[in-house]
Amino acid sequence: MQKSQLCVALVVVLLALSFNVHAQQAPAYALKNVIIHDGVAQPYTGHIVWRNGIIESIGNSIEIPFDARITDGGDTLHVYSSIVDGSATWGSPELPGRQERPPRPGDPTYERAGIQPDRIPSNLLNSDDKSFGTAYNAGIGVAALSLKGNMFPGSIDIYTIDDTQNNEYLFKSNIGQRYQFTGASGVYPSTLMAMMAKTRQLWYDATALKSHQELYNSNPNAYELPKRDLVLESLFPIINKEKPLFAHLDSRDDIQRLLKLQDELGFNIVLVSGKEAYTMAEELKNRQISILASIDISKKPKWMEKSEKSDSLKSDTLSTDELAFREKQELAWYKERDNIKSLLEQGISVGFASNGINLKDLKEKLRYLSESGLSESQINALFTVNTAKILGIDRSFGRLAPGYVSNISVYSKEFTDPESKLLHITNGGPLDEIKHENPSPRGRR
Amino acid sequence: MRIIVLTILIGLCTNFAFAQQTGSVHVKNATVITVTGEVLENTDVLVRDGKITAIGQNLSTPSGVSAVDASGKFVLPGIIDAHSHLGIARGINEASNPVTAEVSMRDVIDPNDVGIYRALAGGVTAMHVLHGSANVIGGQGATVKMTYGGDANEMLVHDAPRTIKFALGENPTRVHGQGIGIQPRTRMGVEQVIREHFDEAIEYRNNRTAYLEAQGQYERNPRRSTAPQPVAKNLRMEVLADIVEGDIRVHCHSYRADEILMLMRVFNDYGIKNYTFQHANEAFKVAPELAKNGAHTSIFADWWAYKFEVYYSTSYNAAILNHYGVINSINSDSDELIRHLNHEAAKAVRYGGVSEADALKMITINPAIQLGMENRIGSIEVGKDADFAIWSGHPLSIYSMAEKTYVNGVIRFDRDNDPDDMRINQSATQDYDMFVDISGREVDACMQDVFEFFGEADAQQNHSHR
Repeated sequence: MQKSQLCVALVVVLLALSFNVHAQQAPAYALKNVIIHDGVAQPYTGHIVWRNGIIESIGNSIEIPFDARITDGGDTLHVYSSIVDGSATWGSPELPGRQERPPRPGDPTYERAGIQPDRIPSNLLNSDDKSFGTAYNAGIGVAALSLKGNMFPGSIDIYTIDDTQNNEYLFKSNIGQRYQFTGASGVYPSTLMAMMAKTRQLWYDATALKSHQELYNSNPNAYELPKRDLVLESLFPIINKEKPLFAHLDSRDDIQRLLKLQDELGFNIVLVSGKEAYTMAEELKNRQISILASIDISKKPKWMEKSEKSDSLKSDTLSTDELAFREKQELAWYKERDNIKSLLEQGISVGFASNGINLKDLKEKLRYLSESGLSESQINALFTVNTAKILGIDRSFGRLAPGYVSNISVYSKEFTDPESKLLHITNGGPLDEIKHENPSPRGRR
Repeated sequence: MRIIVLTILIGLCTNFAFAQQTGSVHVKNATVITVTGEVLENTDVLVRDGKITAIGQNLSTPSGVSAVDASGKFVLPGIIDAHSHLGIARGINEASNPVTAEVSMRDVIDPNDVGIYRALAGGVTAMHVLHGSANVIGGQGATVKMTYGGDANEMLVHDAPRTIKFALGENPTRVHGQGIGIQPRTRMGVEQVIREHFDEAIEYRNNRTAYLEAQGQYERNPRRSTAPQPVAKNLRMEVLADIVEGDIRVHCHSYRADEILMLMRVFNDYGIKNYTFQHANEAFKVAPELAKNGAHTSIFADWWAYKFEVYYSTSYNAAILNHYGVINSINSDSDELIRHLNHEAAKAVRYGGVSEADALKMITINPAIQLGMENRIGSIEVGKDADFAIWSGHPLSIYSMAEKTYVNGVIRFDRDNDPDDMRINQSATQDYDMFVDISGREVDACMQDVFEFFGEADAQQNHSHR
């Protein structure tokens, strides 16, 4: 075939392919004349177009395709990337109830001891769990899901969230291991001190097994055949620092314990929840530890609520002891409320983890965040781009930008506005109308 | 060598929050009970940066150092409690196995336990935090200073000699023998558990050492040898082997004379020295044997008959042990009793006529010796840590109170400022009642958490055995 003939043939093929693609193209969706909150930039009025679950274009001068289904925001609706949740257990099997004590409780099976890093959420999650629908209607678009359990409940998978959850929504599997100081009931390790010791021993055993396997693979005739141990092998990526431990801890003392283990064993950490992380902010920053922070700020002590109505704090009826106690407790409550702000000021990477919070309480907790002095853009970033970055999915989620997954939430006002209401959400396709048996998480009082 | 370097590096890395706060103070014109020397009238104690730098009359106050007038008052070294379960986070007994040497109280110190503040108010400046007594070989202990409300790492005396808790008699046989149906069911079984684990640890140490040597040889010259098959580090066996090699001091819960003799025989067989019998209610029966073996005792002043194996005891226990030259301390084993160990020491004067000086040794220098800390704490001497309390009167008097308590030269309790209570690291949610309620002496503090471990039904059954 001559060169010119070849070129013509190629053009014909390309045109044919192009026509074919166009013919099968999924419908586009568009929001026009909306106020766009990207999380990394100042809000602006513009349009968004998405197709096949991906944002195609966004801006104030883009062309909306002729085939797009358009919703006009009338310059009043506020559009955000849906919430990226750093930690949830929706769909997880519940923990077993009271279990039989094995004959030798000091040497239980891994499963009985709650040491199950080999468990994979996508194999066990119940897609019928109505928590997924609740989360979706609360504005959550993607979440890191783990399983309920004890010390090592299993690995962590990332799912996009919809009313009808199934494994098609699995975005990324095994981004790390969940870890917590939760002892096994009636068997070893049941106490905090035993969990510390057991963590060390698991490391020693896994390190030896890994070394044995490598030696055997390099020279099978020189060594005994290493025994397979899926639990220990599941820890290899953590030991190799390829993946982090997502450590669910709150108190300063527990965080210190974790850092002690890190010094001894060497692993990467993402701290989850971390309610007292502010007490260790400098140390956490020095270690470059990111935090998926809980916003489950404690309710004010009753005496504080009462004192806001009357001046009982200065009541003559209180002893000097109790007055001193109240002053310290008030300070402690404000420190807890301001945890995330303190961490951000320190320069720590902080994202959001719902971490078991009742989603109905989100608006109250968000109010606390606003009261702590965080701006709306800071809170937006916390709930979206910051979390996505910590989870390692920030090239796909957490922003309203071309190429990103079109997890989009539409609010009636800025979400920090007390009157704001979540109106629509999409996980890639058409905008779903929010079922408001659950209140909007963002801003409503 | 690589291991040593690695160990040093790990030590440096784990040093992120170990700095202990130190202070300076000039205590003037007190009656100073040095404990290891004379009682000094009208004497000053000068503290610089956490250490006692001078003891004498009419010392001048260095600039920048605050002075405290202690005229008419007494200075006593900080009281040391050789047996406490105070300030432990989430469980004092890992009761799932008869031997849990790998667990350590150093990992679970709770610096915010208000009991620590109360102990400071009783002149206590250091304590030995112990695992419970459910297991034949429990966990490793922690020597801590009472820096309430600070940092767990600050409380720990990091260079204190290592210690471990053993337990004989009814507790381990009840928990593991009767409760779970495994060894030990009897006192014979207790001895056998110890011997078997020592033997296993010796074998492990040999194998592990051989592996490390072969690995070192391979790393030095990989072309001339083959990498050895790994022998995993076993934390439990490491600790047990260290006990046999004399690197860890044993503190053994015990009551009866026969089991005390048994453990001394076992330790003699393995060449283990440096051990203290805790409680030891029948120690007076074997005081000469204890003295001969160099064993120490740490006892209650007058508490017994709370279970069958401890029906036979006497308030003269301390006096008899002291008479035979046994290094004896008086401990609390109680979050309540720790507040008035001075009263407990005074009972040794009342029962058996122990001298006031020796009685005070039982709550200061003697427990320091048992913890291997006598070069740093337990007496008022130049060069020692500035851990002491200023008492309103003689510390053995029922009417005396600790007015100010210093740890490393920093005032940690000040009766004048008690309502301000500035050291509390207050929780946002804890109720005020937590700070005003105080329960009495626990029935069996060493067995805390065991019944929770067994679950509700079993707990009822086991309670009937108390």
